[in-house]
Amino acid sequence: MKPDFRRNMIWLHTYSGLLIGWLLFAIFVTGTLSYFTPEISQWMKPELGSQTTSNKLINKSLQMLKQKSDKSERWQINLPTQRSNQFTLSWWIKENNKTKRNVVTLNSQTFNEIHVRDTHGGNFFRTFHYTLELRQYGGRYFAGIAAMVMLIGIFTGIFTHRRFFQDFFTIRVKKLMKTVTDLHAIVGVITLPFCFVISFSALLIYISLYMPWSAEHHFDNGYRELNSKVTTSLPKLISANKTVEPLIDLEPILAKVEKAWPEHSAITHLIYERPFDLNGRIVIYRQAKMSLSNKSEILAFNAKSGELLEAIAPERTARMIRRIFYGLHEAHFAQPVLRWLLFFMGVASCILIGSGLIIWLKKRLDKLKQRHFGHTLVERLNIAGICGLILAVVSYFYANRLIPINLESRAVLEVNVFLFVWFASFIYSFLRPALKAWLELLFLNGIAFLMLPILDLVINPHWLIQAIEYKNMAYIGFNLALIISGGICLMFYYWLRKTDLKTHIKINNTNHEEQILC
Amino acid sequence: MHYRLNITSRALAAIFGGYAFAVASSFALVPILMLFFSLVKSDAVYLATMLSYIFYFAAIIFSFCRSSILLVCRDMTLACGVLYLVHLGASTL
Repeated sequence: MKPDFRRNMIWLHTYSGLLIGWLLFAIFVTGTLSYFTPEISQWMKPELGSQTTSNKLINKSLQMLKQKSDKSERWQINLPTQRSNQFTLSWWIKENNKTKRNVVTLNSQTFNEIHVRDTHGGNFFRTFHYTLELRQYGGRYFAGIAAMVMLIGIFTGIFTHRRFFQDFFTIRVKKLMKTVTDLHAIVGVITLPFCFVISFSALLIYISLYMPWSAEHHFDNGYRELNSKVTTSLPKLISANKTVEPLIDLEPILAKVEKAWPEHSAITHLIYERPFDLNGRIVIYRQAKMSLSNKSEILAFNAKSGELLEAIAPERTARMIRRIFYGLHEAHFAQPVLRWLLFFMGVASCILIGSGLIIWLKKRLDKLKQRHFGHTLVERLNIAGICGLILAVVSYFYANRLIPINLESRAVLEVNVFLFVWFASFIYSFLRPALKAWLELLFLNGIAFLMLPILDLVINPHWLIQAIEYKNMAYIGFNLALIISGGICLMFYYWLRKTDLKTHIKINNTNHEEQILC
Repeated sequence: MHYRLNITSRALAAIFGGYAFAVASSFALVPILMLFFSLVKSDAVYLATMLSYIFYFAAIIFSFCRSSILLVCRDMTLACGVLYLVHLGASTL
């Protein structure tokens, strides 16, 4: 081991990055996509169309819920928002000691039920980025390890710079390898705070999984008891055992809500607990705009008298710290401009990780006389991990459009397409020379991205037309994003081909000169 | 071969030793936070658990910069021992 601190840090940077780089790349790509979970879901559930929202929907929904069953324990109304077009009513009925949830998805204008295709939508990326589809097999632990390694990576990365500021303002475009190295350095500096907050908050989200020992020791019931001690919530509702008619005119309560929240009074959902009981309670959830914390802002009302119930007590500071980190990670508070900024920070982090993996390999291949199998493996994993993953993401969208709607367990099939394409690209990368595989997969990605909006139009032009009619930026924006991504892939393809040809010619020329000199 | 052994042992010390150090810190910080920052027990446990990641992080960096692996093991054991004693002392008092 080299004794020098800086060299040690560089070593740690290199090998911790290599070991977990592909996993981190996959987590960051899917995590970045999940900034737009509801928007992606909108595109993947085109049957929903564009929904308009207003608080007037609530009264009619309550009436509908009342007709559904008079044994409901709980009602929930999810209103469409600027980001999500899902308008759902749910009611819970107790059957044999089990409470069963029933859900209908409605059209907000006609109140007719909409049958949505069976799909996980954008939620797949969200769950994938921390469970890796291995929830039962410790997927969340792998994600936690990856987050820790990312922290190590960004800390040790600082020491790889000899001249921090000079490096930041340098980019050499003539040689492929130099460009990638400079890009890695620049992006690394830009995303440093972003990556720190994302990785550290990721670790904090699962303290119950990663560091439960102190809680296990200090409390009989472990982390669960600790959590209940620091978290505040509404008191548990006790049934009065007296049946009453549920409230179906919410206007007075909504007027009070407006008063309590003079700004940003938009509601995402409301829960009506024990609608047929004298003690029934209505809880109204505010859209997350005003606070970084992930604790939802609510107002609770007594359903019978319509009076505002006592607010939830503020939480303990320790709990609030974790909530704010959690909120920063999820970024539900971010409005479009900030959301896009965060998205681009995510993309930059993906570029950081991807370029790091490419640098590792290139640096070694250039010096190498004879290749080790490890080098080949890294080379192929780079292709499958970077290009293959993006191809898998696109094919997930294709699967959403192409798999017949009535097929059983369709949602699972879509996910399997994602995993299968990813794996297939890995196999494919072994069958082709490395550079060819890069170029071909890039080209395929570009074409696939560009064809997707066309496919969408061919399958049902009504979806896009309706989105334009309603100025539904989620749907249109998704299609635009596909076209732009396709363009970037193709641009990158041509750039890579050109730069590579140049280097080839150069090498040939130098060989030629050497021969002449000899 | 010596180089590989060195790296492997450092990595093991970083991963497992570092984790043990972090767990120890999540125990030892509880009485410290309660005494010096007058936190309630639940708050102290919660905060100590969150802070323990920083100790883990520091231990990983530490095990790769100490000049010899034996020093890493010695220091890490000592640190864990001290933290354990703090925890033990506080729970017996």
